[in-house]
Amino acid sequence: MRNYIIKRILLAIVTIFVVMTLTFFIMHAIPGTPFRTGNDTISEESLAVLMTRYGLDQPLYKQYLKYVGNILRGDFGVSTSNGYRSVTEIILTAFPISADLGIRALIFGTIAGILLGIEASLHRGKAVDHLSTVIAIIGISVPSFVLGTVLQTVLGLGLSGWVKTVFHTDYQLFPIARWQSFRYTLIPSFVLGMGTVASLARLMRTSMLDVIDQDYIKTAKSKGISGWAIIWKHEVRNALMPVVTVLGRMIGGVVTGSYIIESQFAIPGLGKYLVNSITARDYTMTMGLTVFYSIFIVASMLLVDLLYCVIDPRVRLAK
Amino acid sequence: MEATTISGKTAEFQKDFTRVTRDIEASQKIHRESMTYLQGVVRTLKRNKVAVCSLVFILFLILVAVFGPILFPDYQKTDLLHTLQAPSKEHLLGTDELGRDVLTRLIRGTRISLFIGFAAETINLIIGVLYGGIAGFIGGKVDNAMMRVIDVLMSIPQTLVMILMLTVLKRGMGTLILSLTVTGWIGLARLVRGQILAMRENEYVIAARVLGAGKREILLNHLIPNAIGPIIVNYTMSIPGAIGAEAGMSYLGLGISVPEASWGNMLQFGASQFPASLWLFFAPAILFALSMLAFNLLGDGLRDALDPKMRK
Repeated sequence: MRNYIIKRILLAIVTIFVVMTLTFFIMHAIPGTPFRTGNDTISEESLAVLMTRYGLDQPLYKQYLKYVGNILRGDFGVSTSNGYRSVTEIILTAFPISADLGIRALIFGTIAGILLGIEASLHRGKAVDHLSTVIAIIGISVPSFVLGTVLQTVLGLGLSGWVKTVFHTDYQLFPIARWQSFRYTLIPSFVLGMGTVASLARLMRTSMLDVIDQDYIKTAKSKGISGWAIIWKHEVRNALMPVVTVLGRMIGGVVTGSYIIESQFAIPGLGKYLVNSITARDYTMTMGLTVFYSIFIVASMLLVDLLYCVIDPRVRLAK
Repeated sequence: MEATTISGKTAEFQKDFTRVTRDIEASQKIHRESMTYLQGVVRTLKRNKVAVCSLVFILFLILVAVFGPILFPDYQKTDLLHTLQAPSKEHLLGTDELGRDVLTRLIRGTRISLFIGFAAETINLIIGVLYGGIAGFIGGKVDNAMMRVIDVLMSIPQTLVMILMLTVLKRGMGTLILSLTVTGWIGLARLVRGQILAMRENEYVIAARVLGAGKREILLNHLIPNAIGPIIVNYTMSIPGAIGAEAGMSYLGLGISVPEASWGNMLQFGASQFPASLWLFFAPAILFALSMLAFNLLGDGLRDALDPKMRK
C-alpha cells in the first residue's frame, strides 16, 4: 500500500517533469524571439536589453535550469499579450472561474449521465435505451461550439426576444455571455457537461448490465428483497465502481476542456486566456498554461487513484 | 396382481405405437455446413440492421470522398454576386459568404475530414498494435518500462498537444494528423497489451506451446487473430474522435483553413452565421452528426459480431 502510493507520487512528478521539458524545448524550437513577432518595431538596443532582462542571451541549458527553477517557485514568466502581467497572477485570478464552471458541469454531467445509464440498462432494448445511445454518441462527438451556438441563439436570444415582446422587459433568463450570477452559468455548464453525460451514460449502462447478471443479484432476488432496494443497494452501488475511476480522469478533461465554451460565452476563465494567447501568438502564456494544465491533470489523477484504493478494498489487498 | 394390470396397460398403449429403430448414421449426420469465423461475423452483422445501415452510409461517404471532388471540383469557385443564398435549384444547399456552393464544399470537406480521420487512426493503429503487442508479448521488465512511458504520455491531454503543435509548427493537414498521433495510439496499445497478457495464459496457447509451437507461430496464429476483434472495434470508434478533434481545432482557427474545406471549418463558419443562414449550419451539422452516429453504431455492431462469445 505505502509502496504503491510512493510509486504513484514519483510517477506524477516524472510526468510533470517530462511535460515541462518538452514544453521548454518546443518553445525554443520557434525561430525568432518572443519580443519581435512580426510587426513590432523594436530597436536592436532595446531587444538586447530585453534579452538580458529575461535571460534569453544565456546558453540553453542555463535557461532550462532557470525555467525549471522558476516553475518550481510558481513563476511562469510574463504574458506579452496581457500587458506583461505575470502568468501566475493571471492563472490565480482566472483558474477559480474555470474550476467553478468545470465543477458545475461535472455535477450536472455525473448526475444526469448516471441516471440516464441506469434508466437505459433497466429498459434494455426499449426506446429509452436507444434514445440514450443516440444522446451519448451525439454528446461525445458533436463539438461543443455547435451545441453552444444553438442554445445561445434559441434559449438566449430567442427567449429574451420573446420575453421583450410579451412582457416589455429586458430580463434575460439565460444570458448568453459573461459569468455573474446563477442564471449566467446554466447554458455553459449544460454544454460543458454534455460530454460527461454522454460518456457516463454509456459506461454506466454497460457496467449495470454486467452487474445485473451476477449471482449475488439472483441471491438478493430469491431472498425476496424489493425491486427498488435491489436496484439501488446492489446493482447501482456495484456498477458505480468503474464510473468512479473514469470520473477521476474526467475532472482534468472537463476543467481544461472548457476553452471553447469560455471563449464562446465570454467567461473570463483560463480557457479564454488560452484561446487568446494562441491567436495573439503569446508563447509564454500558451506554454505556461499548458504546463499548469498538465500539473492540474496529473494531480487530480493522482488524487483519484489514491482515493480509489481507499474506496475499493480489492485494490488495497492486491498491493 | 398389480403387475399384471401394469403390463396389461403397457400392452394397451403399445397397440397405438410402433417401435422405430434408431438410425445411428442419420443422427450423426451434420446438416449445416460448418462456418468459418469470418462467415459467422458476416452473418451476425447482417442481422443487425442498424449496423448494416451504418456500414452502407460509411461506404457511401467513402465513395463521395473518393469520387465526389472529381465530379464537383469547383469548391473554391467564388461568386460575389450570389453570396449567402438560400438553397435553390442551382445551389441545392445554398451558397456561403463568398458565393461558393455549399454542397460542393461539403463534398470536398468529406474527403478532407475522412482522410484526416482514417490517416490519423491508421497510424495510431499501427503504432498501438506494435507497441502493445511487443509490451504484452515480451512482458517482464521491458513491459514495465514501456508501460511507464505510457503512464507519462497518458497524463498529457490530447487537446493541449494539438494546440501546442499547431501553434508552433506549420498549420495544415500534415501537422494536424501528426498531432493526433502523438498520444492517440495509447488507448489501443493498452488494449492490445491487456488482450495479449490475458490470452497468453489461456489453455489453447499453453496447448500450442506444449505441442511445440514457436513464439512466432503463437503470436501470428493464436494471439493476433484472437485480439483482432477489439482492435477493429477500437479503430472504427476512434475515427469519429479524430474527425471531431479537427472540428474543435477549427473553432480556435487551428484546423484546416479556408479556402480548403473541412467539416470542421464549415461547422465553425455555419455556427458563426447561425441562425441567419440556417443552411450553412445545418448542412455540415447534420452530415457530421450522422457520420459520428454511423461510425459508433457500426462499432457497436462489430463488437457483437466479432466476439464469438456474444453470438447467439
